Amino acid sequence: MAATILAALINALSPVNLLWSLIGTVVGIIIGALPGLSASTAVALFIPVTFNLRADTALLTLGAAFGAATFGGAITAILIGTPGTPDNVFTVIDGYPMSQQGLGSKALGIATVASFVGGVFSTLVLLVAAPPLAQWALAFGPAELFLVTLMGVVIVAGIVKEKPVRGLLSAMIGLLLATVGMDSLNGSYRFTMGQVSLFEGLPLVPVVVGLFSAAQALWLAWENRPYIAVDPNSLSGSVVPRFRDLCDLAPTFLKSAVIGTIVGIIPAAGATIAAGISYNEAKRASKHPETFGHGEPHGLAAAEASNNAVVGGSLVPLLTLSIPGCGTAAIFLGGLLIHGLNPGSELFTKQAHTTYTLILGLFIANLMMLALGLGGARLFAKVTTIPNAILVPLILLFSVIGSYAVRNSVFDVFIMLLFAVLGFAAMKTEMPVAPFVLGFVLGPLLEAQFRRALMLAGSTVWTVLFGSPLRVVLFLLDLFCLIGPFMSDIARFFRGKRARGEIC
Amino acid sequence: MRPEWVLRFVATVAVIGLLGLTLSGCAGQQAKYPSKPIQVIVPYPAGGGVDVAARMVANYAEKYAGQKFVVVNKAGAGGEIGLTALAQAEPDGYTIGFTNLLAAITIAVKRGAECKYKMEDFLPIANVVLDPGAVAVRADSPWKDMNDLVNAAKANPGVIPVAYGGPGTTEAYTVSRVESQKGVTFNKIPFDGTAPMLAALLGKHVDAVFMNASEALPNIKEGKVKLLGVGSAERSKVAPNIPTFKEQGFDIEQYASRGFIAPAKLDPAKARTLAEIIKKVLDDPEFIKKAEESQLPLNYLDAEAFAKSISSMNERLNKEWKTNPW
Repeated sequence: MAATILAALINALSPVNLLWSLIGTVVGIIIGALPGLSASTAVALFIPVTFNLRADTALLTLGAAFGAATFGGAITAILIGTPGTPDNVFTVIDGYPMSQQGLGSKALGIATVASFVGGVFSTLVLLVAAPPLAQWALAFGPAELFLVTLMGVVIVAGIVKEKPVRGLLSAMIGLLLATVGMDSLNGSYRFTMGQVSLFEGLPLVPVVVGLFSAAQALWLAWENRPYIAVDPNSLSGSVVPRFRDLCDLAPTFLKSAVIGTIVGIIPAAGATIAAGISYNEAKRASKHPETFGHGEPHGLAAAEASNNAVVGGSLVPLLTLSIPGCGTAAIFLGGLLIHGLNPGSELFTKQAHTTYTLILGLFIANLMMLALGLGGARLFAKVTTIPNAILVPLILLFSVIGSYAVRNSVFDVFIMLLFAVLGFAAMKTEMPVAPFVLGFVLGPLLEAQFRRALMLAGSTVWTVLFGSPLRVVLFLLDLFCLIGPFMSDIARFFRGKRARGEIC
Repeated sequence: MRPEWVLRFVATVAVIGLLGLTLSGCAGQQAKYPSKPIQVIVPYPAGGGVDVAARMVANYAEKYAGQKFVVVNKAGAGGEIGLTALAQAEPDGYTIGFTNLLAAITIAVKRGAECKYKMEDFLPIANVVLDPGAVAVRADSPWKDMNDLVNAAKANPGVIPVAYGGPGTTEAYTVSRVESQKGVTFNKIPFDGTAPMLAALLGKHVDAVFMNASEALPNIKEGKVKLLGVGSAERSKVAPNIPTFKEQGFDIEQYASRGFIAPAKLDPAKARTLAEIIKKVLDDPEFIKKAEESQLPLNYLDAEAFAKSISSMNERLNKEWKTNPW
C-alpha cells in the first residue's frame, strides 16, 4: 500500500503530469472565471482534449480543471459581482462588497486559501476513507435526500433575516419558476406554453447568468460610475492573508470544508447546497452576524471553502460506486469510462497506480491553484480598475456566449436577457437574489425526492420525516438550520419579557 | 499602471472563443467530400453515454475521413431539440447526428403530431452501439430470473419497488409490457438517470432497476449487482450468460441502438462515404480495444440493415402505443 502510494506520488510528480495539471489548472481558472462557463464546461471541454493521453495524465487534467474552475468562478464573483454558476452565488454576497471597498485583492487571497483548504481537506478524505464513506452514502434514499435538500431551502430564513419579506418572496418565486418543465415523475408538461425548449424547465445557466452577470452589467451602466472600485488607485490590503487573519478564519475554513465534503459525498446534493449551508452556519456562529452581506471575510471563506470541498467529496461515491455526487462528477464519469477505468474496488486494487496518481495529483493541483491564486490576485484585482465603459460590454458579451454555449441555443440567450431585466429590477428594489437561486435550483429536487419517498411502499408524511434514526437526525438538523440564526433573537425576546416581569 | 494588457488578454480569449464557435460554419469548396469538418449533433448533454460514444467514434473518424468530426451537444426536451435541429439541417453532409434511435422513436410516438420532427426526416447511415435494456437486482437477491420477479409481484401486487426512467421512457415500455403480459403490477418509482437508480438499488431503497445493461457492468464486476434478463433479440455480447426476455417467455424487445443518422435529403453517395468511414472506424483494432475497455457494446449495421431495424421498431411502438401506452 505504502509502496503503491509512493510510486503514484512519483508518477504524479513526473514532468508530463505536472505540465498537464498546470494546463488543467490554468484553463480551469479561466473558464470558471468567465460568466456562464463553469466546472462542468471545463471538464466537458477537456474530455476530447485528453482523449489520447495516458489514463492517469488525462484524469489528472480533468480533476485539476474541476477544482480550478470551481475556484475560478470566485474571481469574477468577487471582483465584478458576476457569479457564472449557482455555486458562487454565496461568494458574491460578501466578496463583491469587499472589492467595492477596494479590498479586492485581499478578498481574492481569502478565497484562494479557502478553496485550497476545501480542496485539500476533501482530497484527504477521498484518499483515506473513500470506500466506507461511499457505503454510508447509500443510506441516503429519497426520504433522506429530501431532508438534505430541505436544509438548503430552510436556510433562506437565516440568510434573509434582515429583509424577511423580500427574501422569502424571492425564494418563493424561485420555487415557483422551478415548477416549469416536464414533471419528471408522471411525464406531464407544466407551464411550458408548448415551447419545446422549456420541456426540461427554465435552463439554469441562462437564468443565473442573466440574473447576476448581465443584470450586474446593466446596473454598472445605470450607476454610471467610471470604475467598480470606489477608488481605483488604492487597491489596498495584502494578497497573502495575514497569519492573524488566517487563525481567525480557521474555524470557518474547517467547518465549511467538512460541510462541503459531506454534502459532496451524498449523491445528488451539490455545491449550491454546500455553500448555502456553510454560509448560514458561519453567519449563525458569528459574534457579529450583521456584518454579513457587507464584506464579511467569514462569509466569503465559508462559501469558497465548501464549494471546493464538494469536488473531492463528489469523487468518493464516483470512484467507488460509479455514482456521481454532482453534475460535474457525472461528466467526469464519462472521462473515466473513455479511459477504460471502471469505478469500483478494481480502481483501488488493479488500477491503484492510476487512481492514486489522480488523488495525489489533486493535492498538487490544489497547490498550483494556491500559487496561481495568490500570485495572480493583484493582477486579477486590476479588473476592478478597468473602466466600466469597457467592462460592461465585455460582461454582456460573455453572458451571451455563456448562455448560448450550454445547449447551442438562441432561445437560451433570450431567457438570459429576460432574467437580466428581472435581475436589474430586483437590484433596484433591493430584493436579494440568492434566495431565488436556492429555490430555483433546489425546487425540482425537493419536489421529486419528496414524492418519490412517498411512493415507496408504506410511506406516509410521518415516516418520510421520522421513519429512521438517520431521518430524525436530518430533521433535527433542518430545524437547527431554520431556527439557529434566530436563537439570539429568541433569547433576547424572553430576557426582555422577564426583565419586564411578563413571565417569571 | 494602465490595465491595457488585461483588456488585451480578455479580448484574446473572446476572439479565440468566437473563432471556435464559427470554425464549423466556415465555407469550403465542393471538390471532394468531406472537404471540411463535419458537425455531429448529439441531442444530449456532454458527458452522457451517447455523448461519450459519439466522441470516441468522432476521434477515430478523423483518421479515415481526413477531416475532423466535431461533436456539438444540442440537448433539451429529452432529445427532441437536437433531433429537430438535425431534421431541419442543410442536407449537405456536413451536419449529421449521433443518437439513441429507440429514444428518438419513443418521443415521436408519444408526442404524435406535436413532435417537431418525424422519423421520415432522417436517413439512417450506420449503427454503432447496441445496448440491451435489462433488469438489474442486487447480487444477494433471491430472484434468479425474470419469472422469479414476476412471481414475487404476483404474491405482492403493487408492492415490489422498482426503479425506472419515468412514464413515456423506453424503460417504461419494458416495465409496462412485463406488467400487461403477465398480469402483475409493480410499485414503479421514477428516477432521473441511471446513477440515482443504481444508488437506490444498492442502498436497498428499491429492489429492481429497469436500465441499460452496459451501465450495470461496473457493479456486476464488483459482485454487487446481477441481471435477470436482457431486452435484445439475441443474447448480448455485454452479458452472454444472461437469457433474453424472449427466452424467458416475454414478448419484449428493448435495446438502446446508437448510431449515425443524417437529414433525409442527403446525397446517397455522401451517405455511402460516411458509412464507409464509420465501418473503417469500427474495424480499427485500436478503436475496438478502447470500446471494449469502456464497455461499449459495438454492433455495426450498414445503412440498409439499420433502416430496417429502425422501421420495424417504429412500426411496433406505434402499434403498441395505440392499444397500450406506457
